[in-house]
Amino acid sequence: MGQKGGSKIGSREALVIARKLDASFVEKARHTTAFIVFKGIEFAQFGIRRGSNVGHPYIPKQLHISETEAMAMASCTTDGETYFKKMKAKGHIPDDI
Amino acid sequence: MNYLQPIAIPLNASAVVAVHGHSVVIPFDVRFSGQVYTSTSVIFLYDINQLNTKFCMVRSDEINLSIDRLANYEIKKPIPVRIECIDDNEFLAEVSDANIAMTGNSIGDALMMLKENIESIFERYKSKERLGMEPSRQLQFLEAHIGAERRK
Repeated sequence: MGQKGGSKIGSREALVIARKLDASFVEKARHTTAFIVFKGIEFAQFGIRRGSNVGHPYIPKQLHISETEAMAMASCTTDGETYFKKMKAKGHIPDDI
Repeated sequence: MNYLQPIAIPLNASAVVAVHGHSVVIPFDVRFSGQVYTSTSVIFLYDINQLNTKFCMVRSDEINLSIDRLANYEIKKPIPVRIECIDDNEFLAEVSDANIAMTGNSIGDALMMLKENIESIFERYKSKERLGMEPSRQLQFLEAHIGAERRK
């Protein structure tokens, strides 16, 4: 089911992506921030709104991927390992890590 | 073209700097939760006759504002924010220079979400010894704009 804002990434999908990337969660009053850590180094972050029908169109940009790739993670066709390999290939994660 | 929700604009004659048909170029302050955000955007009034009211239909896809107050931190210099109407009652608030964004059901909601997220990121990243490339860049940006923790 599509989300508002033209983004298919709702709160549920955002949480699935965060868990798949083994995110560290920081809860705030109105939202949760998912911090993506790779081998002990902070790598990316994105905020997750609470509520079932809200869009998160900014997540792909903050993860350096396309919306299609983000949805592939949310629908379990891409795993975290594949994502981190892509990030290394794109130069977002240094080779020595 | 999206139509933003009505925004309270303090209207006075000196605020109107140019009129082109149904479009008006107007610098304005927007008040949310008692705080004032100054916009430097050019906005286009849907109906110029509504200048006589306190509310105007703003016809624009984008507004540029700046955050000059955070709940728990002093501000060194205003943080530029771009607000985009992305759907009915759905707004994206983004600090483009730092790649930090949140959405909200109103401009005020999106801004509040963004401010909370900015504080989360700032607190987290400044406590870490080693950061990746993007977080390092984000922290550098935030440290240039955010000062000491506010005394409670």
